[in-house]
Amino acid sequence: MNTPPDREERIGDWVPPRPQVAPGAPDPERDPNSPLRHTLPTFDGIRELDSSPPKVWTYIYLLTFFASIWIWVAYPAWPWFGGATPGILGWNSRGDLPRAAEIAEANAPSVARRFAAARWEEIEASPELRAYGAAAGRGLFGENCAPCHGKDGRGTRGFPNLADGDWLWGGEVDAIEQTLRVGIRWHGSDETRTSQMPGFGAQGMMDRRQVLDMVEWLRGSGGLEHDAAAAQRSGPVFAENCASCHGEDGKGNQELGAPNLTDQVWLYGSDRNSLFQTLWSGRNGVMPAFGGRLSDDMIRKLVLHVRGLGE
Amino acid sequence: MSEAMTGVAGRAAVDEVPDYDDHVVRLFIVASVFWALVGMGMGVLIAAQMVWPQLNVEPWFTFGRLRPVHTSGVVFAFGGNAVIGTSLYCVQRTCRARLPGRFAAEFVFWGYQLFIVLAALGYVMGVTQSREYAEPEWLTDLWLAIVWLTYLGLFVGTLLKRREAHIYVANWYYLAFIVAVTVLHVVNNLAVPVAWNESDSVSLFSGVQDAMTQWWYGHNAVGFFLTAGFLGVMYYYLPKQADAPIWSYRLSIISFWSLVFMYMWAGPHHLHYTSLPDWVQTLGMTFTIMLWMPSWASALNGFMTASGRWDRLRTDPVLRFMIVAVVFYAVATFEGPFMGVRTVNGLSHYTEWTISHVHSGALGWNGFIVFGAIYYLVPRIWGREGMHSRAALEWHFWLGLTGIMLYVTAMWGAGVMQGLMWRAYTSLGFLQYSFLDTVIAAKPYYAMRLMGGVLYLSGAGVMAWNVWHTIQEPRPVQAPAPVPAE
Repeated sequence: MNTPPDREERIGDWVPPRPQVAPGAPDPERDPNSPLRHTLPTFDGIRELDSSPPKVWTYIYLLTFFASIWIWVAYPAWPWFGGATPGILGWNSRGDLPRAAEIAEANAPSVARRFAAARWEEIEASPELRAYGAAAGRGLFGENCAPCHGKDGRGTRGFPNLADGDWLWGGEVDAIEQTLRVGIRWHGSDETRTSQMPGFGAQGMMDRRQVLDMVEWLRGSGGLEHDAAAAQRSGPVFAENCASCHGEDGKGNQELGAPNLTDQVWLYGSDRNSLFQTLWSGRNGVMPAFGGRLSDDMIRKLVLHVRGLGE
Repeated sequence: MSEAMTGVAGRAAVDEVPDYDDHVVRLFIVASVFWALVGMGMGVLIAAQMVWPQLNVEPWFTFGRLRPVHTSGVVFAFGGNAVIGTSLYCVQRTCRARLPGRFAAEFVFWGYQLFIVLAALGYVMGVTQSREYAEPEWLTDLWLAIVWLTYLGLFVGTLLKRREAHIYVANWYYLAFIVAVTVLHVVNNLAVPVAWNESDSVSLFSGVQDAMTQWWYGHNAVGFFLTAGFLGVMYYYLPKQADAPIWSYRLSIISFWSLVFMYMWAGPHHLHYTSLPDWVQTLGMTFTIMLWMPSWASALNGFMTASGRWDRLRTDPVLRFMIVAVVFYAVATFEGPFMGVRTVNGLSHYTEWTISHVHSGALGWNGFIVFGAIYYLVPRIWGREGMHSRAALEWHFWLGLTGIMLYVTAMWGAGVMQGLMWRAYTSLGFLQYSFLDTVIAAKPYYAMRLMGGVLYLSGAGVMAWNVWHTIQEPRPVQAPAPVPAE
C-alpha cells in the first residue's frame, strides 16, 4: 500500500517526492477521511480531502431520481412523436379546465341559477336573492370599482362616495344599472351619460367677482361659514346660470347628474379655492362603461352591492 | 503545462512565485464595493416606493424603471465585479500563473463598467427590451459580449499557462460561470434591431417560446451567475480563511457535474400554470427536484470544510460571513426546489414569497460570501496587516444579518398571506378578497422589508468605510518576507 496509486502518476507532469516516514508512523499523505487514498495536490496551500458523501445524502439524491422517474411515467413529460408522452394518469391541464368548470357548475348553489333567471322585481322581493347578489357584487366591486371609489366605496376627492346615500344619477336599481352599463362621459360608449358643468369663469359667462360671490353662496347653501352679503349678491346670477341644472332651490337634478348643492356633500372639496376652481374651470369627471366588460348578471350583482353600501 | 518540467531545474521553475497581476483585482474590488452601495441603495429606494408611492417621480424615477437598476446593480455590478475580481485573484494563484496579456484585464474591467453605466442609463431613460435580468438593448448587449469573451480568454489563457497538474475546483465553477453566461447572454438576446441607428429591437422569439427563452435565461442567470460563480468564490476563499482542507473532492465532482447538467433544464418552473405545454412544465419541475441534493452537496462541502474550526466563528467575523453565507445557500436551495413543485408554485407564484426566496439567496448567500471574500482580499492585495477596524466587521455582520432576517421573514409572511388571500372563498363560492385587499394587507410587511433593507445597506456602508480606511492606511514598514527557495 505504500506505493502511490498509478492514478497520481498520470495526473501531472510533475509530482513532488513523498516525505520519508518513520516506520510505524501514520503516513501524513494519507487522506484521513479516505484512508485508501493519498491526498490530492494542494493549490495555493489549499489541500483537498476525499471524503465519501454521507449515506443519507446519497439516498435522498437517489430518491429524487426515482420520484422524477415516477413523475415522468405518470404525467406528460418528454417530447415524443406527435407531441409528448401522455403519462399513465392521463392528466393534462387542458383536460383539467372543463373538469374544474363542471365541478364548479355542479357545486354552484341553486340560488346562483335562480338569480340569473330572475327579473328585478323578483330579486327585490326575495331577501335571499338580494343577499346573494350583494355578496357576489362585493368581490366584483373590489376588482372593478375599488381602485377609484375605495375598498368600502367611500370615494375620495373627485370620486363619489357611494355609501352616503347621495346619488348624482339616481339611486334606484335601474338608475345604478344604467350608470354602470354606459358610464359617465365615457368616450367608449354611445349611450354614455352626458352633461357638462361648464367653466363659468373660463368661458366668460361670469366675471371674477361673480364667481367669488357664488363661492360664498355655495358655502352658505351648504351651511358653512360664509360672507352673507356676497351670497346675497349671487341670487340673480344663480337663477340665470345655475338653476337650469341645479334647480331653483339648488337641490340638483338626477336626470342631468347635477349635484344637490345643499346637502353638504362636496365631491371636489368645500374650501374656497376648490369651489372657485369648480366654478371657474368646471368639473367633468369620467366613469368607464362596464357594459360589455362585465356581463349583465355581474352588473346586477354590483348594483345590489353598491346600493347596499350606504345601508 | 508545457512549462512544467522534471528534475532539479524544473523544480525551481515550479516553486517560483510568479508576479501576479493584482492591480486589476484591486480595481474590481473597489468597483464591487461602490456598486454595492448604488445597487442596494436603489433597492432601498424602490422598497420605500412600495410604502410611499408618492416617491415615484415621473418619468425617470418610477418603480418600473428603477427596479432593473436595482437588480442589475446588485447582480451584475456588485456581484459581477466581485466574482470577476475574485476569480482573477484565485485563478492566478491556484494555477501559479500570471494573467496573459498586458491590457486584456484592464479592458475587461473598464469595458464591464461601461456596460453597467450604459445599462443603468438606458433603464432610467426607458431604453429596455423588457427581458428579466437582460433589460439592456442590443448595442449594450453586443458590447457586453465582446467584454465577456475577453474575460473568457483571460481566464482560459491563465488555465492554459498553469504550472499545476490539476485545475482547482473553484476554477471549474468560475469557468462554468463564464461559459454558461456567454451562451445564455447570446441566445436570450438574439434580436433584430429596428434600425441601425435606433436602440429598439425585436426579439427573434415570440409567444410561449419567447417566455421559455427568457426563463431559461432567467433561471440560469441564477444558476450560473449567482450560484456557480459564487461557489467559485466559496471554494477558494472559505478554505483559505478557515485554513482547512476541502472536505471532499468526490462531492465536489458530483455536485459540479450534477449542477452544470441539471440547472439548464429547470427554467420551466418559472412558467407553471401558463400556456407552456404541460410536458415542459413537468420536465422542468423534475430537474428542479433533482437539483436539491447537488446544491446541498456544495453546502455540505462548505460546512465540513469549516468543521473543526467552529471555535473561530466567535473570533473571526470574516469566516462567520462565509459560514452564514453557506447556511443561506442551503436554505435557499432547499426552498427553491420546493417552490418549483407545480402545486406549491400555485400558492407561491406572483406573491412576495418569491421576493423572499430571491433575497435569502441574494442577501444571505451572494452578499455574505462576497463580503467575506472582500475582507479576505483587501488587506492582501493592498499589502495591509488587516482590515482597518475589527469593530466595523462586527457591525457589518450584525447589521447585515438582522437586515436579512427582517427582510426575508417580512416578505415570506406577506407572500404566504397573499397566496392564501387570493385563494380564499366565501361560503357562497365567491373570492373573499379583492387584489386591493391583499395590497392593503401587505403594506405593513413592505414597511418591515424597508427596514431590513436599510439595515443591510448600512452594513454595506460600514464595509465601504472600512475598506476605504484600510486602503488609506500606510503599508507596514517591513519588507514582505522573501520567498523561500525550497
